Amino acid sequence: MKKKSLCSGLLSAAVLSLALIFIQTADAGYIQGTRVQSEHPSPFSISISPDGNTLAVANQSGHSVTFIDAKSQKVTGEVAVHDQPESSVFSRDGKTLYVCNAESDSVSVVDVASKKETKEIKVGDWPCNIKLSKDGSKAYVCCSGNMWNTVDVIDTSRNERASVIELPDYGPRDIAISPDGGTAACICDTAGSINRAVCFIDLASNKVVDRRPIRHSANLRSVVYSPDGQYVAVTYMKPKNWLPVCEAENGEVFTNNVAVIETKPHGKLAQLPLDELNNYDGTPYGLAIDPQGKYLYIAVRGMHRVTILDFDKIRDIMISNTQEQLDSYTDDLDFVNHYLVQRVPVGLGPSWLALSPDGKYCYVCNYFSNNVSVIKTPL
Amino acid sequence: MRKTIVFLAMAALMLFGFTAVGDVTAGEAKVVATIQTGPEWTPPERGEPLTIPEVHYRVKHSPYRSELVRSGQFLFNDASWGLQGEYSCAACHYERGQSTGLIWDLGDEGWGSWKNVKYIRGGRYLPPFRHEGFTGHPDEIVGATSSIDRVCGRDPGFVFRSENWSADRLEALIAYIRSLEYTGSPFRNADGSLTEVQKRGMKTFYDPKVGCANCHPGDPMDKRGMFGDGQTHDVGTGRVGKYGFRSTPGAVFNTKALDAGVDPYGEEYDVPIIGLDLVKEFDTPTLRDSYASAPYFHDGSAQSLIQTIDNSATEKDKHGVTSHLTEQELQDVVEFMKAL
Ligand code: HEC
Ligand code: HEC
Repeated sequence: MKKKSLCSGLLSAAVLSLALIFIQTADAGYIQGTRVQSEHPSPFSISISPDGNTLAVANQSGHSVTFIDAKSQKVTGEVAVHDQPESSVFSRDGKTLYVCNAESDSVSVVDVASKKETKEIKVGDWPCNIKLSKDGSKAYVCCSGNMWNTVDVIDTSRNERASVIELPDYGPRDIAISPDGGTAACICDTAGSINRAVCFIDLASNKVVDRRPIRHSANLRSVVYSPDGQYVAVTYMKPKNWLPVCEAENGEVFTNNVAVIETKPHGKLAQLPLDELNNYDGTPYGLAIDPQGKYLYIAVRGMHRVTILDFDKIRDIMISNTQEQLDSYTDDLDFVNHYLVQRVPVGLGPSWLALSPDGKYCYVCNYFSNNVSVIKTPL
Repeated sequence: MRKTIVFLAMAALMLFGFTAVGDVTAGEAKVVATIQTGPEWTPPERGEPLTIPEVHYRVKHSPYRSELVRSGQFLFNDASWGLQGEYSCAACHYERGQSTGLIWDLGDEGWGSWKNVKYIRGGRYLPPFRHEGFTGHPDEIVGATSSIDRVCGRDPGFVFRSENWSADRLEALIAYIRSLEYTGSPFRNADGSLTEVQKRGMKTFYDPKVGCANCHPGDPMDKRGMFGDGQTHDVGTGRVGKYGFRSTPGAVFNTKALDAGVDPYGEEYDVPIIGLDLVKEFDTPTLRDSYASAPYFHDGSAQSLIQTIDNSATEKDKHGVTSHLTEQELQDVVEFMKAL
C-alpha cells in the first residue's frame, strides 16, 4: 500500500515536471543549430497583419511566435509552435497565421484570436519562407534544404498541401508574388554555385518560365517585387573567391549587394553595391519596399542596422544605363551614394523587417537583442 | 468599461504624441520605439587581445556554457568586428553552421591551394580538422583547433583585418562551434528507418570489394556513427602535376575533361585559376549530414555525391573500388549516403 502511494507520488511528480518542461518550451528553446538550452527567443523574422494592427515575430530559438499589438507596441501573447520557426504570414482576413518550422519540416496553422496552433502541415526540407497568393487562397512555402528544390503549395481553405512546384536549382530561400498575382519570383541559394539564380514561376501552371542567374552571387536571402511589378530586388553577397584571401580591403573577399532585375524577358540586371569604402553592409538579409515604391529597406544582420535606399533613383539608374554600364558599377565602392538614403542603427542581428500598410513604420526584429525596433520611415 | 476605453485612447494618444514629438524631422528615418520581446542581451566586451600562447591555452581549456554558446553565435554572425564590416564567419559557413559551398584560397597552406569551406556542424566529433588534417588530438578542443587558431584565433588579422580575440570572445566562439549538432537527414522513412533503396545502397557500401567502410566506418542506426576514420589518405583527389588544375567553382580540368569538351572559360567557370595542391593526402570527412554539405572533397571538385564515386573527380578506383558497379548500384550508394 505504502509502496503504491509512493509510486503514484513519484509518477505524478514525474508527470508534473514533464508538464513543466512542456510549458517552458515556449520561451526556453535550444540555441539554433545546437542542443544547448537557451532562454533567448531569438526573433528571426517578423510579419504584419493586413490591417497593420498585429505583428507576429517568429522566434528561432524560442520555438514560438510572439504577437505584438502595433498600436500600443505591447506584447499581447506567445504561442508555442515547432522547431526553429523562421517565417510567418497572416491570412488575408488576419485571423490565421501560417508559420514555417524550419527544423521540423512543417507549417503551423495558428488561430490568431485564441493564440493556439490548430494544425501542423508537413512540407519539404527546411521550410524557411512563406508568402500568400494575391487572393489568399494559397500559401507558397520555400523548402530550402541543401538538397531540396521545391516550393510547396498549401491550399488555405483546406489547410493541406495541395501541390509541389519543382525548381531547377536547390535551396529555394525566399519567394515574392507579383502585384498582379500571376507570377512568383523565387531565389535559390544553391550551395556551391557562384551564379545563383532567381526563378520566375507562372502561378497558373506552377511551371518555371524564366531563370535569371546573378553572376558571382552567394547567400541570396530575400526578394521583393516593386509595386509596379517591373522589378524584383534581391539581397545577396558577392564572393571574390578567385582571389587569395589576403586583401580584405577594397571589397576583395566579399561585397554586399542588392540585385535589381527587370522582370520582362531578357530585362536588365543591376548588381548594386550596398558597401562604401571602409563601411560595408556585411550580410544583408530581409528586404521590404513601401507601397509607393519609393524606398527599399534592408536589414543588415552583420552590421546591426537598416539600410534605406531610394528606389526612384534606382529606377532612374535602371532606365538610363545600358547593361554594360550597369555591370561597370558592380565593384564601385562610391556608387551607393547615388541611391543611399540613410543607414539606421537598430538592435543586434536585425534579420528581417516588415512595413506598416501605409509604409510609414518599419518594424525590424533583432535576433540577438530579443527585441523589435520601430523605425519612423522617411515617407 | 467606457472609462477604460477613454483611458486607453488617451494613453494611445499620449504615446503617439510622444513619438511624434520625439524629434523626428520630416524625411529622416529614426528608431522611435523598441519593443522588448525577450531578455535584454549584450555581447561580450571586446577586451584585451590575447597573445598567441594565450589563444592556444584558451582553445584547449574552454568551458561550455549556454551563455557562452549564445555569445559565440553572435560573434559568428557579427561583421562589425572586422576592419570594415565586410563579412562574418556566417558569410562562408552560413548562419546554420553549414556551408555556402565555395572554395577559398586562405593562404596559410601556401597560396594557390583552394579549399572547400568545411561543413562545421558536428565537427567537434571528428578531429583532425581542416582538409589537410592538421593537429587533432581528440582531447583537444573539439571544434577545430587548427582552424580556430589559424582561421580566426591566432591571426584573425589575416582573414578579417581585425585585432586578435580577447579571452571571453574566443571562448564564446569556440563554445558555439563545439555545440553545433548534425541536422539529421530528411530522406529517411518518417520513423527513421532506411528505405528499400537506401538498404540496397548500404549493402554495396559495406561490400569489402568496394571498400567504403574501411575508411568511412559507421552504423546508420547509431547516432554516434561518424563514417570517418580520422586519418588522412590519398584517394586520388590531390591535383598535383599532370592531374590538372581547378577553376573557382571547384571544377577540375585535366586532359580527360578538356578532351571531353569541358570549357574552362565557359559561363559557370568564367574565372579560371590555376590551383594546385601541395599534398595528396586529405582528412577522411564524416559522411553524416552529407546530404547538406555539397560540394564535396577538399577542393569542391565533386559537385554532387555521385561524382565522389563515379571516378570522374578521382583517379580510377582510388577512392573505393567502384568501376565495376552499375549505374543503378552507384545511385543506390548515393541514396544511402543521403540518409546519413
Ligand atoms: C572566406 C571564407 C571563410 C570565412 C570568412 C571563415 N571561414 Fe572557416 N573555413 C573556411 C574554409 C575554406 C575552411 C576549410 C579550410 C581547410 O580545410 O583548409 C574553413 C574551416 C573552418 C573550420 C574547420 C572545421 C573542420 O571540421 O575541420 C572551422 C571550425 C571554421 N572554419 C570556423 C570559422 C570561424 C569561427 C570563422 C569566423 C571567425 C570562419 N571559420 C570564417 C572558410 C572561411
Ligand atoms: C582509402 C580510404 C577511403 C575509401 C576506401 C573511401 N573513402 Fe571516401 N573519402 C576518403 C577521403 C580521404 C576523402 C576526402 C578526399 C578529399 O577531400 O579530397 C573522402 C571523401 C568522401 C566523400 C566526400 C565527403 C565530403 O564531405 O566532401 C564521400 C561522399 C565519400 N568519400 C564516400 C565514399 C564512398 C561511397 C566510398 C566507397 C565507394 C568511399 N568514400 C571510399 C577516404 C576514403
